[in-house]
Amino acid sequence: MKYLLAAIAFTWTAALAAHEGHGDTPRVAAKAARPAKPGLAIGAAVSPGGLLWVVGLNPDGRLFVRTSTDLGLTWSDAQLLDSGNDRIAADGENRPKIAFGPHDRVVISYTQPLAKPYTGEIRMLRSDDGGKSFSAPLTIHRDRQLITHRFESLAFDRAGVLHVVWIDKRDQVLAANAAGTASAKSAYAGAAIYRNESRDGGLSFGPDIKLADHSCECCRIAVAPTPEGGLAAMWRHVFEPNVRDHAFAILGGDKAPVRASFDDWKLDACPHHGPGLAASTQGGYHAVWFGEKAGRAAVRYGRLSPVGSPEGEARELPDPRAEHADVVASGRQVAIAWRSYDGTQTRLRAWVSADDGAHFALRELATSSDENDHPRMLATPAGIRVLWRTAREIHVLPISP
Amino acid sequence: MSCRSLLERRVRPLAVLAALLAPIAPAGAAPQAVLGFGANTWRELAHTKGHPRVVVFSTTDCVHCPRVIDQLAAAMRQSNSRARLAVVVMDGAGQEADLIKDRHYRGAHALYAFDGDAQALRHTVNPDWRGLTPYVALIPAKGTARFHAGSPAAHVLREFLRP
Repeated sequence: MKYLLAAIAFTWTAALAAHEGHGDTPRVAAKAARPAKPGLAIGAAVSPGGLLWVVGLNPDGRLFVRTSTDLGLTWSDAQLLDSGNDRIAADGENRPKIAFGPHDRVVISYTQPLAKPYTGEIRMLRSDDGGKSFSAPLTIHRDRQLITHRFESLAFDRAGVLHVVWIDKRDQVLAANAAGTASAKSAYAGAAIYRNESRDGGLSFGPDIKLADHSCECCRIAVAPTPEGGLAAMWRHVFEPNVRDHAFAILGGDKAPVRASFDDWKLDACPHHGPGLAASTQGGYHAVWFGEKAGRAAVRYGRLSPVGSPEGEARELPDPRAEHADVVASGRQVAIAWRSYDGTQTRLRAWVSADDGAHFALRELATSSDENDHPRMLATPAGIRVLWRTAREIHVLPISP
Repeated sequence: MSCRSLLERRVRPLAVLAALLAPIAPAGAAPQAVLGFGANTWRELAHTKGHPRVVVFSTTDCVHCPRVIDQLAAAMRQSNSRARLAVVVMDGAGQEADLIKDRHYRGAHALYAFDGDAQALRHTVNPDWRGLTPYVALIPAKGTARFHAGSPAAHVLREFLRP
């Protein structure tokens, strides 16, 4: 028996040595992954009274809002919000959002990932007193299947109607059931874009309405006000046969979505990199997006017509490492901000135009060696600002004046 | 359960033998732990001599990743390749229990989660990578890694896995 145990012990030791020696789990990495930190992703908006609000997760993973009366020079203490037991996605393309409507209405939304992989619900807290108090979270879509309802975006239109738009996989489930296949993906390419409306500031919502079949599954949806007071949306789409370009639609409009970019990126993968959109005062839209065109991956800027079709040639941002760009316009000024990692620090950079996008100049805005969020652009009454949350603080950087 | 506790309980020797030989199980044995993918992990994976390696970078919300991981694991089995498959779930820290149970990762030899700043860790792998997943690295036993957005082409994979 002793010999048998000794042989076993030797075999085990030798096996482990061989395992390590072959490098399946290199010694330097052989430690357990540490607990997840709450994501840094934030949403931001300016209230009708001119206060800058941000919403995000604190280091304990609690949902908070903070306000600033001086556009980020000083901040209020964090006000913690009661989101019940919700898990809240706040990383990268998934972030809490905040929007202000008429009659002191404020809404905060987020995606709650559910237990099953790739599933989620879109949740909302609402306020009728300008943000002094918030309701308990509620689910804003009628479909309650344990499937994807994620990557929501929301905004109030000029008439005070609240619009929510999100990525939804109910049609993939239907297609798989109809085809009698367990492989939902083979039955239906991508996901779908759904939306709904609330005319009482989020107290109740109309039906879930399909905006488009076959969206990409893991990228944020850009929403921007239209010159007519409505809202436009742009998202990464799966065009035939398998091209991950972008589509554009007016929310609640009577026109079908149109193709807004022509990179022709044929890909069976998740870019995790959604577009940015802003209306031009000269008509049409400014758009930024990431994609690969003729083998060249880049973030590009392009003009869209009032119905969302590309106008002119798209231009690459002057930074081959640019990622997660956002765009905003105010008058004839257009600003695009992005982050760019050089191996030691992240640079926050901007491309700024004073002539509605005809010409741009590069600006260096900030650097950080800390973990950081994607930049967010805001048009405030005092001018364009870039918000950038790092592990230490929330930067608010002026583009103009 | 540790070797020591088994011996102390005087479990039947053949059962002990089977359990103890588990570390040298053939390719595809399900990972038993989620390891931290830190600042030096890529260098270790890319430069440790021995087996060729296939490394798949994934995220918990990457809908394309499970299929690619399955395809790669199947190709490795069918080719009798000595290659080892590692999966790195970039946003998997804090979700280790779920990852270990997830059937999508059972074909991997090793399972990792990013442990640190994702931007910086991506840069250690390839400065040109913008975070797209699945991102697949084919690391030959001798030579440098080649990267693929999504599944590598069949002929590329065949060539790489040739015994």
